[in-house]
Amino acid sequence: MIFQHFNLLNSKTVFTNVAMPLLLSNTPKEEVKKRVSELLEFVGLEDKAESYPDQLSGGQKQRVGIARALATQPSVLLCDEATSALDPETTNSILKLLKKINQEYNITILIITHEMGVIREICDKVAVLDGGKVVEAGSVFEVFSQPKTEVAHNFVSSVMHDDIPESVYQLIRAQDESHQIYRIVFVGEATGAPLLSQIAKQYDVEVNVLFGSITELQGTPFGNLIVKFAGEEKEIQRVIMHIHQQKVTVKEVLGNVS
Amino acid sequence: MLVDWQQIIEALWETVAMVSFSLLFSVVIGLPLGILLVITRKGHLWENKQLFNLLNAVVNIFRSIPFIILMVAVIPFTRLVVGTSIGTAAAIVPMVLYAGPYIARLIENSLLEVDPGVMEAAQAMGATPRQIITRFLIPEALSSLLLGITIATIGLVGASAMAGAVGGGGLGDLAITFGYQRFDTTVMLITVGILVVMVQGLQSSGNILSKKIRRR
Repeated sequence: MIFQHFNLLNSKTVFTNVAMPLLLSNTPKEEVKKRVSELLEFVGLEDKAESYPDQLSGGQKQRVGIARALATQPSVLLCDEATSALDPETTNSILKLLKKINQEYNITILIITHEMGVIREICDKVAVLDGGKVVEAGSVFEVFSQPKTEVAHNFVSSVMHDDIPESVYQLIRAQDESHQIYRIVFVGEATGAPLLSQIAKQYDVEVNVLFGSITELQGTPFGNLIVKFAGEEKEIQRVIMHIHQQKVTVKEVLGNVS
Repeated sequence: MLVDWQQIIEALWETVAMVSFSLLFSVVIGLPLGILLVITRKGHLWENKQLFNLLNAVVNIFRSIPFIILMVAVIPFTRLVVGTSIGTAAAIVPMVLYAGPYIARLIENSLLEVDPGVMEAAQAMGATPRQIITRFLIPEALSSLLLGITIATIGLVGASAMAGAVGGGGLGDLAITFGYQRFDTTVMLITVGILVVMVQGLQSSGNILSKKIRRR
């Protein structure tokens, strides 16, 4: 288990801190020494073995915490807000380390966090807790692209940026028959296809992107565009048909949507 | 007036003996008591409300009796333990009864200062309650424990001087019988000087040792 505030023994060296779980189970000295130097090398702190925790930075302390948690070769690693006390750069390096642990040691990692970026970065599955109950669970892709509950939506919107800004709403409210605004959601390969430029070439409509974002979720690109089509209504309907055929989700955005 | 250095050195040794032995016994009693006062607390390792309340009350009772009264009040008990109520050995008994609960409080304080996160980590590692105490709580609090014991030792130096007033021997006895009752100002000044140097030395060594352990 690793902790938000590291919870290292300030009176012991980095070596002893990492060795602690092994010492508690009376592991032979030679084995402890071998295992600890292996772990310190893995987390990139082999030169800090004789340092004390208060001589280390936050990121280094968390690395010691991680090495200590791995000492007994657990099959599950619990992270209690492991990156919440770290700056963004250090957070990234710790996340990379966790990913490496997951891949090299084949250890399941359970992360408790309120940082959506952390989940987007390294998680496969996610469960949303509200008032001590799981209100939503699924793959990160599912929950982030289509959050079902309000709690999940509020959390996810901090990294997905798919809420339409007020200025765009004003345009939407001003729309008439020759201007229609749609939300187009691209998933995976579709993100790479030049859908909008095809439309502009093949149909007699003008395409104007009002707002949009493209994020990557678990290695799959996820795009979310608010687009205005200007042209004859009949032509626009043909465009919508075309988009549907490409297996891309498209929905008309109405002015009164909140 | 001539100063009897032989007598002063003898008295100094009596003081050192009284303080050292009573410190030893006080720690033997105070350390487990202090640990129990911490671990029987609500939500701690070995929560036990009755035991905590009992120990807390006992410590408070002893801590509230002024030493000079405690010394006289426990004379029957002192006789029972060492066979006499006069002399250096007899002085140690009330000194332990005075300093033991005091040390228990100081140790309790130091242990309570240990980051609860360290205990959480210890439990996550699967440490037994005994391991949590010996490998986590005490080492983490050691620096502060030593400062507490230094304070208690200085308190014992003061108590040993008072013990002198009821025939316990030592520097306090010397100061009272010669300095006060026989108006020997030189002896009075020398004893006071020695006590000041002693306390300074104790505090400095305590500080240095505590700093060394803290390793900052």
